[in-house]
Amino acid sequence: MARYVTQRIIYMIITLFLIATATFFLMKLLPGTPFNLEDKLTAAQKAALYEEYGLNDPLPVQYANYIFGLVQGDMGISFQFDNRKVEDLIMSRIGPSAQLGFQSLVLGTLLGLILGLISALKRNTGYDYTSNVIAILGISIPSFVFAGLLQYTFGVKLGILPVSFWDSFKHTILPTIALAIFPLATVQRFLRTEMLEVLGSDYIELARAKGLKNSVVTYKHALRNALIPVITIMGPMVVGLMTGSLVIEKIFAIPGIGEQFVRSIQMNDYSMIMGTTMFFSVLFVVVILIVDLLYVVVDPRIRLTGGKE
Amino acid sequence: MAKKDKELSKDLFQPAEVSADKSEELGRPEISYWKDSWNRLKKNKAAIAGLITLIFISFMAIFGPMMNEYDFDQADYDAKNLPPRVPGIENIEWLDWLGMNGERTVEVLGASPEDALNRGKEAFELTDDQFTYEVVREYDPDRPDPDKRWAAVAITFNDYEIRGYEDDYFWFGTDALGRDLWTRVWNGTRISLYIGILAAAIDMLIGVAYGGISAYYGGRVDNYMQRFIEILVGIPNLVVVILMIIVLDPGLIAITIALTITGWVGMARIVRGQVLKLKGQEFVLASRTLGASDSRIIARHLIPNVTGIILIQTMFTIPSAIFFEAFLSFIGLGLQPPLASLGTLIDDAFKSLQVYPYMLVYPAIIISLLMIGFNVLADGLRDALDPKMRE
Amino acid sequence: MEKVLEVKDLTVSFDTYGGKVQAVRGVSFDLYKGETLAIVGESGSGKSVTTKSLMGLIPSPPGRIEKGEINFEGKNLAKLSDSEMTKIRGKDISMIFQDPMTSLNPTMKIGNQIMEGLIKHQKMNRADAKKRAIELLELVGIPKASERINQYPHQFSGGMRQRVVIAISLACNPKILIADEPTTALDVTIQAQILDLMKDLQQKTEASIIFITHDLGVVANVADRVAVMYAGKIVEIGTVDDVFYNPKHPYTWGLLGSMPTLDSTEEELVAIPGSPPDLINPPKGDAFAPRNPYALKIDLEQEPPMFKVSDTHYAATWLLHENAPKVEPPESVKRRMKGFAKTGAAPAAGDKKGDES
Repeated sequence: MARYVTQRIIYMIITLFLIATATFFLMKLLPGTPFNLEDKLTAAQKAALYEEYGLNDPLPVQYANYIFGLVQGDMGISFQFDNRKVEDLIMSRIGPSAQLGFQSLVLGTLLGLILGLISALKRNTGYDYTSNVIAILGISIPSFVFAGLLQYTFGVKLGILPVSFWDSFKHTILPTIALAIFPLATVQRFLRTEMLEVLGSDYIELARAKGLKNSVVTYKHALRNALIPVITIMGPMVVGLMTGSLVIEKIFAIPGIGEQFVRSIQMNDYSMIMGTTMFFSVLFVVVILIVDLLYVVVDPRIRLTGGKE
Repeated sequence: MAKKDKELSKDLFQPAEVSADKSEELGRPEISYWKDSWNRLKKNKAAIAGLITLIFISFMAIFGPMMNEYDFDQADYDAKNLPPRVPGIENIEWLDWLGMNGERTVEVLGASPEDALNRGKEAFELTDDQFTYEVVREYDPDRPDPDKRWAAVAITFNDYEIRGYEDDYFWFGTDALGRDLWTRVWNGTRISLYIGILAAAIDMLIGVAYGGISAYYGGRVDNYMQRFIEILVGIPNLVVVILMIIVLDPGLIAITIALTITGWVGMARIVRGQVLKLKGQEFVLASRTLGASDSRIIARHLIPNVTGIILIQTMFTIPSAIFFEAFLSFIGLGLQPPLASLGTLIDDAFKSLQVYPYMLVYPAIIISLLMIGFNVLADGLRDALDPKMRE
Repeated sequence: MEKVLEVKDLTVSFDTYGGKVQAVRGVSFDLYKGETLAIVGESGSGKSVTTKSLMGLIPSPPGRIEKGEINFEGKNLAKLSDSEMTKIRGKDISMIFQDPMTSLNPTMKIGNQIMEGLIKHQKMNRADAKKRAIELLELVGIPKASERINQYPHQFSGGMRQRVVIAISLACNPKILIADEPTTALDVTIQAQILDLMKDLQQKTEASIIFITHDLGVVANVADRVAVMYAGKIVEIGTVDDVFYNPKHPYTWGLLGSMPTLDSTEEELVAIPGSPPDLINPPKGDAFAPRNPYALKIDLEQEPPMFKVSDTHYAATWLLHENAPKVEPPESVKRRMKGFAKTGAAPAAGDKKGDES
């Protein structure tokens, strides 16, 4: 177990290092400079700016400074957002994003589990079909289309929920639903498949043959075994939430990391892009690590073998 | 026991002619894997509906832009923001809700309904015979929401007549630059499909080659190739795609490259898993024992047995590539004008969603139908091709 | 002898996308106290479906018991609701499954899997159930039972897992034990151990066993009576002696002819030509007729009834009708029959010490 964890953490560090390096050099490849009002600056002002941001140093020095700074949590200074530190900007935006992500994850996962369970237990009935239609719409309809639909229906037409901004809990309802639909659909489809496979397995038949009640067989034997692999889709789901948050935060004008990222892309704020990219990468890699470790803890079959195939 | 032994004629107790051929014949008729899969797919109503939808949308993507006289980049500023108008449908009253008759309904606020009406007439330059109206609410200073205190009137008028476009029919309306949305939407569909299919094809080529080589040669080769994949998997593709696009200047090729740069990993893993499984199976071992060459084993045993799974995976890749392209367009990293994809059309439409919702409707419906069609068809294919699901 | 179970005209069908499959088509048999009844037949002959109906384990939908009775202790099990069946399953009738690698819950400790039934049916508390579970594990021959009770299935070998499955099935002293090919998935040496264990346990518990298998060697080794199934019907039923020394149905001849023996090495194995019929559209008349070299014209017209051969022996073939021509079993089968007589009905001796071969 300890060896497995160490190995995984080493991989994680290599991956992050590669991402950081790639990000840095890709950014350096870009033509032009990051200052959007460049034309209006005098040569002296430009030189001062370049000096201030260390853009005159040789590339290897800049690279070393960047990596060294990253390790200490220093992501540089934003060129566009009032020259503030990138890490401070990210931290200042983390609240709404975290709340939105958490609410959607909880709502989507819970509803997904319920729908998936109903589908598997009532296979080939109206319940199953309805639940499957919801899931296929959920993975198919792009979040921005769904968000637009929600905004127009509940915000513009019915006027019962605010169309945008982030003031009260009421403001979080529409974006949460819009973002929850993807985890909901993913979990529904995954749990349904797993549950059907488990329900068809020999050990479930043996459990029935013991004379256990249907509810005991379903929840104690089947659901437990079907839930374990659901942990593995947490990784893709977090990526889905990150992707979704860019769009949803833009549409609903939520002051989160995603909205800031989209703006920094539109304004060519390279240090902000690099910083947010690293932030997303770290988040993703850590989630994957937690998921893998959790899996080892939860599934007794993996515990003793020390690693999984 | 044999009491109900009535008068059974003795002839019946003569040996019957049962040929060996006939006894074999009586079993179930043999059907090939692909035929059997096709039969199963045909029974899946959702998958067939998806297939028909996709065929229809592809047809429209190819021929739709030629169906009227407008070009996708032909701007006419006077004709901007015109609502949809379709000949035939415009005169059928019970189809008015479709909003395809060139009419617009605008809610105008004022101190009183009369005031609102006058403001509306002035703003849209309407004469008395050009509109109908309905009072939405009277002025009431006690309402809690300040925006709702004003009186409101809904004015309905035919935008085409007022702006002198009586003879024009923009089936899906026009955009903010007066370009015909019908042509743009189908053009955009064409580009979205092109990116989706191209990205899926490149993913397939790289993924199959990588996974196949890794699994077939095994050993150290496999080991190194897998380590590389493990590192790639650790990188969120969102990050890779965004970085690539920023570096490569948005465009058709850049988007396709960005989508495929890590996209093939999923395919490579699936193919590797499948080939590893097949490699250990008896029929491959038997063939090897009999002295079959590598190329023969690959061509005769491995490829036919992984085709199904490659097909399924590709069918899932296409919609996700289409989605990602639209997503990139939406966050401002998509195609540059005048080129349009479904994603850029939706992005544009969002800018005026509250005033001109029809601009969002058609590209949104088409991209949703495309995604649903591919996903449903892929689901159906998986159920039809996966031998595990067979009874 | 005391009758424990009576099955009358049991008919079970499944709805599939190709049509209605008539998996079991009017099966009748009795089971007596303390005996072992073997049901043999090739895959798809309906033997597993028959026994699953006894347990009320037919998945429904798509399966259903169309008609027939399963009489056990004054109740017709075919008519009981699922919740009523849960009081009988695992307590009065229990089951051993074919593949020990997949029939234990992978995420539950062995001990809990045994204790579940005890707590439910015997109303034991956890401590007593645990004590009993350890006893059961010792009974089925698992060493260090008190330690292994806290382990997971993947920590056991295949043979050991099958012993655990047997312990689970014996937990509540069932009156009937159904063993669905319990040794098929095991190594030959382990097979013999498990068979010995089952015979031993049967003597201790006096349970009746229904033993499903397609291996005639195993039948001769463990069974008192044999029922041969073909295409959803019992075609011949009798004591082991009846069926091995004096088989009457051409299908039974075919099965015996296709069975390898140790003492007749020069013997060629005789395969039964063709494949079993499509049970979506069962053929008219005798389902075996198309594969039967002795088929009569009437076989293609009418289904044969059960003809009585002796008090214990019945077979469903028109060859037993008084008007039928006298037909002798093929030479190879006759030689085998004689062989069984010589070695004392132990063609399975080879199986028991399978490591010799």
